[in-house]
Amino acid sequence: MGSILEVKSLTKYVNDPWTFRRITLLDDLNLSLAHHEIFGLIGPNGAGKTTTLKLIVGLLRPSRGTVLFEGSPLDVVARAAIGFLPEQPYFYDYLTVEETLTFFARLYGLSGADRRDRVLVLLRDLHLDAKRNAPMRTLSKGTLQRVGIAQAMLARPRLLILDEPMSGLDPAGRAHMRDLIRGLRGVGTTVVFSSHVLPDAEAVCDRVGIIAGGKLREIVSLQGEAEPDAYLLSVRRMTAEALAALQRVAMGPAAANGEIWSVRLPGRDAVRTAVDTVHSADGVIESLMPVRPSLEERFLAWVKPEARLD
Amino acid sequence: MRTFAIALNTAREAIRNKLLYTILFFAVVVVAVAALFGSVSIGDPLKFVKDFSLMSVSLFGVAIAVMLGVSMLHKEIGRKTIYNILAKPVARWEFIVGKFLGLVATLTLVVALMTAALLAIVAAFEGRIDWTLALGAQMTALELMILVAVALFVSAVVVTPTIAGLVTAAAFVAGRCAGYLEYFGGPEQPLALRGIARGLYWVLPHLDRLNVANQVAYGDPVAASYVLTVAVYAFAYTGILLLLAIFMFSRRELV
Repeated sequence: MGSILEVKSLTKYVNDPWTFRRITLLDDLNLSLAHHEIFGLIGPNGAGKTTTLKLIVGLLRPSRGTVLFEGSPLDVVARAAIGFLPEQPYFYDYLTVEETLTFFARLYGLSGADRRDRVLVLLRDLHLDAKRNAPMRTLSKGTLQRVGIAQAMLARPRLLILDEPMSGLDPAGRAHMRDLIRGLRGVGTTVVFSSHVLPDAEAVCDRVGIIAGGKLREIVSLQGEAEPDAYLLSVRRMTAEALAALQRVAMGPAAANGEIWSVRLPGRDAVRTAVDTVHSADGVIESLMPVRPSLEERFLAWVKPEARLD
Repeated sequence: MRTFAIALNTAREAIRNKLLYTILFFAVVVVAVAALFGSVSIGDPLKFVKDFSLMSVSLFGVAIAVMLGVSMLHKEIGRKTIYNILAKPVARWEFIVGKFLGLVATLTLVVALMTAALLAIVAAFEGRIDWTLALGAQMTALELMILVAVALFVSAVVVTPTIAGLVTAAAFVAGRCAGYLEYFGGPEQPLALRGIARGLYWVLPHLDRLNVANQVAYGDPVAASYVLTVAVYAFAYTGILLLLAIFMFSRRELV
């Protein structure tokens, strides 16, 4: 199955009006999303997450690069199949919840009974029934966020783009939002959302893109077992010569814990050599474990240098 | 459909704006006061009432047009409600045209209400409805349509609503005085002044041509061909300004 969204060399820069210096907001971002995927874009504030999403939906014009939706350039017509929730969604405070959804449904071109049915279904699904006739200005942050999701889902989008959907929500609200995003996959929707809260991304995403300093640094798969960065081998009953041989293939000196010695091995070849060495010396292998860095460790590895620059 | 939805929502926003009712209330009060003063004035009291009232309808209409025309676009961008609209299958021209139609519909309603009050007051004095006053109001509506287009164009270019408001108000004053440019563009004037005057003559909206309050108030006939000509002019000028507004807005970044 081909990708639903393909972002190629997406770059955005602006010129400082006072110094005329070029400021790069996003630099050469490449990304491909599979159908029904949930993709998280994580990064600290000011990393370029919102710029990326605005460029994808066409609120900003790219300085360079293209955005393809189902193989074609993402234009006004293609946006009929895309739902977008802006960061901290703002609505017309003089409208009620139902009027708001009806207005946006008209913008999607829904008419007559289809529009009314769709609005009613979303009011029910997002638990907005009780607030149906409430003016938008009276709603809590969580309810506004639910209206934001509802308006983005009006046209049964194939791609849903959510900018910080869990921002400002209480724990119950966050849990509900996570369930909602997971549920969207079931109805065939691909979801891209931005967040700077790692557990939120880990809880729902198939893959996560770490963005920092306007660059997409790394894409991490959260599905299945990723290739480990290293292996931790713990052994005992080792002779001094065998231990020295073991340390030669390891990433550093062996650490002792009582009679047990532990070494970090860089890959499968090193593991094979180390295991042969232990067996040749009549040593005992206590454990052999893959070492996979957590998402947080990966995230901090990219973000820390940026923070130092700040 | 989309343009209509935006127009409907724009009209709804204007109609639910309390400031609109405040201005409308004052307009009706001013027309009533004019009637009161007119009844004790020297000369033909009805002419005074009609002239003053038509001027009030025009000036209050202009105040509303500038206020709504300038604030609508800036509010959409400032409050970021525009993100929810332009991320949908809505072209930027549809957004501008929708805003324009909504504002014009609102102003037409406002002028109609003020004119209805004026007709009722004059009918109380004269014992009959003077429908020629409605012609003056129609011309005011055309004038306001041009001003809304000016406001949208300026808002699409200028970032600050205050500056946009001042420029639109200045365009109204200059447009009402556009007739004087013919004098300054005459052959007896210095070349530089003539050039500037002729340039402005073509650029500024000739709102003075749309002001027929005096003729209407004093019972002078207004030729149908004249009304048709200025109406065509008003629609053409508005159309060109809207195209320029769409061009400028389509280039604008929504950071």
